[in-house]
Amino acid sequence: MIGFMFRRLLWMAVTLWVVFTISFFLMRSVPGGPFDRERALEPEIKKNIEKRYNLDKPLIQQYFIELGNVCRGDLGYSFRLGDYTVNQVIAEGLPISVALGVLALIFATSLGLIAGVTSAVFRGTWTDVTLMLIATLGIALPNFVIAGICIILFVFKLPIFPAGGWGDFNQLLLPAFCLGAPYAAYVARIARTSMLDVLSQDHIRTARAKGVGPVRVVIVHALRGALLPVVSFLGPAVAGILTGSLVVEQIFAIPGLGSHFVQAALQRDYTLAMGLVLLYTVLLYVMNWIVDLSYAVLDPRVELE
Amino acid sequence: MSSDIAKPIAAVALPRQPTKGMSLSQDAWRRLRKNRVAMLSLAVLVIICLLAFLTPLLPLQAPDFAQTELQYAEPVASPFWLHTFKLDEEAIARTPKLVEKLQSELVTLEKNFAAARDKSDEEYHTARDALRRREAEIQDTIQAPYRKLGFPNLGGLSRSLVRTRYALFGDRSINSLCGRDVLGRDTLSRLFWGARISLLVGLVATIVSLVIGVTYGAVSGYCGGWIDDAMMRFVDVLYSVPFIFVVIFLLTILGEERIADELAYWGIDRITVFFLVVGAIYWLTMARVVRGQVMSLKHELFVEAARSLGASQTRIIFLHLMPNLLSVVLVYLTLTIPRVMLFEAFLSFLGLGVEPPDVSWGLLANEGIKVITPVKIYWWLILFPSIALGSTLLALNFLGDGVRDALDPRLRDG
Amino acid sequence: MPTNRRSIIAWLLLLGVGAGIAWSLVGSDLPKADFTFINPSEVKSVDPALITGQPEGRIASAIFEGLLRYHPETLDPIPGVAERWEISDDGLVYTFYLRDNAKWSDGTPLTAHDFHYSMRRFLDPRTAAEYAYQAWYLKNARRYSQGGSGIEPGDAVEIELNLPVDAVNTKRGEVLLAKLVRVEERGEDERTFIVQLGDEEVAFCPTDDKTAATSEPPKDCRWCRQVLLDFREVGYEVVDDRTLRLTLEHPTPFFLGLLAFYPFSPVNQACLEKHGSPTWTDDEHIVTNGPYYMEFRRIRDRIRLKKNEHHWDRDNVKLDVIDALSIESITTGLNLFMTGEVDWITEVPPPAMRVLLKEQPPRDDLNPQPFLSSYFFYFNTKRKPLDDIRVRKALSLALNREEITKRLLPGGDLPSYSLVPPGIPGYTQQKCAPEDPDEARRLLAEAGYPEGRGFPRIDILYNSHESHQAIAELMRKQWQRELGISVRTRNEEWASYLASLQQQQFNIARRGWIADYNDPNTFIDMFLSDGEQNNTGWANAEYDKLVKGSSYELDPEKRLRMLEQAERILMDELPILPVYSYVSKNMVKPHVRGFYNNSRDDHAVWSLWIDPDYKGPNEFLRGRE
Repeated sequence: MIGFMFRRLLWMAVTLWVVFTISFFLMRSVPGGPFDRERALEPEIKKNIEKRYNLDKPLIQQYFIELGNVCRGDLGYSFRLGDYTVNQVIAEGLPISVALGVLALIFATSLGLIAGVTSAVFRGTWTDVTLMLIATLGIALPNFVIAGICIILFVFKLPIFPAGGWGDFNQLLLPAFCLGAPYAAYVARIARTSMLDVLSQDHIRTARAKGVGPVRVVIVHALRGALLPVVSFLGPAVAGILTGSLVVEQIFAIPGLGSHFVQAALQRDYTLAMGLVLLYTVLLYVMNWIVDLSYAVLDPRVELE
Repeated sequence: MSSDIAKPIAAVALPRQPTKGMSLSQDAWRRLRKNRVAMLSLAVLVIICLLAFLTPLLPLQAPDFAQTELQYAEPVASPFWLHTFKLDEEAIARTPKLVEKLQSELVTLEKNFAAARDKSDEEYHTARDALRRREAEIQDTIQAPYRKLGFPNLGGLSRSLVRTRYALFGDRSINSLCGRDVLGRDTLSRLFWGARISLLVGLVATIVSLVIGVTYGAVSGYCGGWIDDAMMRFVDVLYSVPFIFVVIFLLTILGEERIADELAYWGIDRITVFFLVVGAIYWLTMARVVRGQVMSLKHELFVEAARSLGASQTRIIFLHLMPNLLSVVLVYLTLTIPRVMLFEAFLSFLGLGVEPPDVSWGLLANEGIKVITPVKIYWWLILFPSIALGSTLLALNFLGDGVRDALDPRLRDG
Repeated sequence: MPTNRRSIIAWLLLLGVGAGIAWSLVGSDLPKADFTFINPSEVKSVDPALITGQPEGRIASAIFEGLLRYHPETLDPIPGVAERWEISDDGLVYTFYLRDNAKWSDGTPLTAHDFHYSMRRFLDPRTAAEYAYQAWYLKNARRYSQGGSGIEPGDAVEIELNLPVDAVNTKRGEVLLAKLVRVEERGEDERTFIVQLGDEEVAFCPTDDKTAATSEPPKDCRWCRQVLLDFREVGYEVVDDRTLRLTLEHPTPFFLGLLAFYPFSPVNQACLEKHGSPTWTDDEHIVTNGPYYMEFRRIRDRIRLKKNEHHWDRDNVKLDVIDALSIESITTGLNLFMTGEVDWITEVPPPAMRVLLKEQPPRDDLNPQPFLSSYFFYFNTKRKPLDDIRVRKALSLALNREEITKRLLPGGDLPSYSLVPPGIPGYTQQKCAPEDPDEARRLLAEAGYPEGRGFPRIDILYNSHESHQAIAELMRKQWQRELGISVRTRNEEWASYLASLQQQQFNIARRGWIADYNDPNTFIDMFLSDGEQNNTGWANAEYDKLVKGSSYELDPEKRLRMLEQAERILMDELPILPVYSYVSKNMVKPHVRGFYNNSRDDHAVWSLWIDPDYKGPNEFLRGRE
């Protein structure tokens, strides 16, 4: 177990280093320095600023200085949000994005499981067909279209939800739903397939033959087996939710990391953008790790190498 | 480590290793044919692709023709035909002569440019600018009659299709069955022209990732040993990199004026960058799967080769490798093309998509979403692009399901 | 099957934990503010010396207050921290008498010394204040801002010495006073200043703190941070704790109005020197002097302003808590306004505007009115083909401004053929030639691009915004239609768009400019050859002479004529492309009182109040036909 965790941490460090290097050289490949872009400065002042940010040193040296800074957790100041350090921005945006993501994941898994299992149990009926059609639509439409339709339906036509912003719990529901919808669709399809697979197996037939009620059969006996493929899908689902949040946060004006990242990238706020990319890498790693762990919990046959 | 975690996903999504060669495809094809939904989807996709390819031939209005007095017009069905398509045939007839003259001037300028390479910076730049200007003039002369009508830059084939269309249909073009946008441009024609870009991006980017992935995976699987180990470790690391973000980063950097201008000159516009960059994201899964296939195949092949008498290993590899890989490739195609097209829509949402006058479905859907206000919803701007995008992706998904089912009956509803 | 149950329980537990996390992270429900408005972009900073935009200005004018402030309706300068003032007969000396009860938000008294500190900081070249040039009407202020380039042998100078590297970055190093003897070049971008300090001549070499701490200065030289004109030479002096005397370079009729402008706000020295920049602006540290203080700030969410109980006018400030939401999408903003979450928005998406204006009976929350603001494009006259005046004229003549305003701007914005918008009394706008596609084609052919062939594919740069995109698109189509050229469009986010302007990395770039004070000079001085905002690369000696001369002209009539002549030159040479002049597009709820449409669309929040039962037309609707 310890060995497993240690190896995982090592790989995370390697990945972070790769991401950092790619981003660093991408950033520096832009012609002109970051302060080239501000107003014309007095020559002495310009030199002072350059020295302060190490811009007068050769590129490789800057690379190692920044690497050192990042390792110490110093991600520097945001270029465009003059008053803020990158860490401050992250501190403000992270809880919001995590809350949104977790809720979206809950929607995705619960809605998806319910739809998939129901579909499998009532296989071949109209329920099955309708549910699967909706599920496929969820996969086929871009998430900003889904969000737009949801806004038209649930904010304007039926004013149930607020149009956006942040502060109340009910401002969280619609964005989380839109974010989780495509993954609910995937989960539904996977759950249906694996549920059907499990339902046809021997131990289910045995249970039925023994006279166990249908509901018990589904929930107690079949569900666990059906869960495994769903869990293995969660890894990519989290990655997808992280990127999907870029769109959803913009549409619903949610001040999470997603909107910060989009703004940072579009504004060429390189320090902030890089800090966020590193953070996302860490988040992905942690999530994959949790998925692997839950996989082990659910299926004792799987060993953690 | 991580490769093992990928297995369950692979197990759900992809078929097990088939044992025989040729007969499998016929078997699979037979099964696919029985699947009505999949065949319908295939038909729909073929039709969409055909229409997209033949778009310049169709009697549609031009996609970039602005008529602001008709802005936000609702869909109309009658009159069905408009008579506003006036192709300037005289100008087209005059073009070859003009171009010839310009081409001859071009030769001289090219000589000057080559000579100027060794001279001073300023002379170099002057020669280069003169050359580029002449090249731009030639392009402008050729494209002018089409641009005037509201077409984007057209290749040679497209131009002849447009001329054929004019010969067939005259000045007729179909009215705005799908309404018009803020500048009065016809949504129906923009849907067709958008299809070209969206499908092209989906297809080419997927093929790029396919090529990279197959090559990488095949090499890794075939070599085995520490090379394979190292290559797969590299894939593992890259797998964890949130590529989407790096891509966004990359696209904003490539949008910097200095860089974009230089690239534009070399013909690398935003779309080409898409192909390469997007393709580079999706090759990882392919590489892993191909490697897995190659490795198990290799095992069998060596056994067979040991038994055979000097038959060329390469031929055996090709005869056996290809069909087996084909099934995997097909499934991969049907899975990835939708994802790529959605990714393009996502980039359009962020403003990093194709640039006007080009148009894509993602861009159209985006424009529709952006004008949703509580007081007015231009429903046609959302509905039709969503139908187009949705139905194509639905078809791809159903076809993908069908192909998977056909290739591995074990995954079907038992 | 114990494993089954175990894993299902584990699963449910995980879900439960997840939901719990989500719930807790959402944070406590925020009590609703008395008044909520939308600032359409995240403010870059709240430090008044470092900002130039309208969104930043709205916050800065709520939490800071200068010597004067603006009357909410007429925008006339009225007493702020200064309760009265005197102007000398020659118009050069202004004396301000500060209130006794002026205080900072932490209760400490506000004195003339605070203003002195703030002005010096504002003009300090190290602060790099973008709006510093607005203060250059003060005597010698410009020379102070130019640092080492603004001094000449014989001047009284101040030498700021270096501090240790870990010192708070807002602290000034020790300041020595001396007289400049001469300046020597020391290499690339480096100068040595030889001054007379006391009896002896000493050489000073400016450098950064790090180098000063770690390496030895060149022979016979002493390290310093910078050498500047002695600030005592600048026309801004403290007479006593409650009195300031300002001396101008020349009589400036709009100077009083300028003093109410937010960059002239005082900042708290103790706060700055304790926390450094930019940390002093954190909501837990910041000390301000305006009618409101910043209670908290959440990026891309909101800034919450709370009434400052130490403010001298607190009895007249009626709103207790104000929220400034920063929401980029104007469509989302409209959504929030319609659902009642927000009381004031500053922009309306054009498709919605069209529908809203047609409503009968007319809406009670919409009243577009013209104000002093101009929408135009910069031409980069240093690049081909825009360096050719015929090309610029052709582009202007081929543009159909009527089509743009009629189709894309349903709010009623007016097509404009001049830089200065209408509405300044006594001033006649100078216009460029109206639409003439034939002449445009002729000029373009003359410039070497017959029928547009060979015209480089330049791009139109604009900052990301729904309406700018449509306008740039239509311009592209119009030029293609009339001239046969193909241009591209390019958009950038606000901050990088500004940087591209500064760097002159554009061909044609969109610009919107709101008057900083009600005088044509605020538009015209943008295009002085050394103007901060002159990103066109255009310079004209006659223009400079007229504009600079106008600032010395005492006769107001003559002065306006000189400015008109300058604008005439601008419109003849067209380094810019005027398109339209703005109409305000605010939407304000009927229960908001004290909100007036005014000549600069400048609405300070401290004069507003809410009257929930009010049914009649509020102040906002005045002026409607």
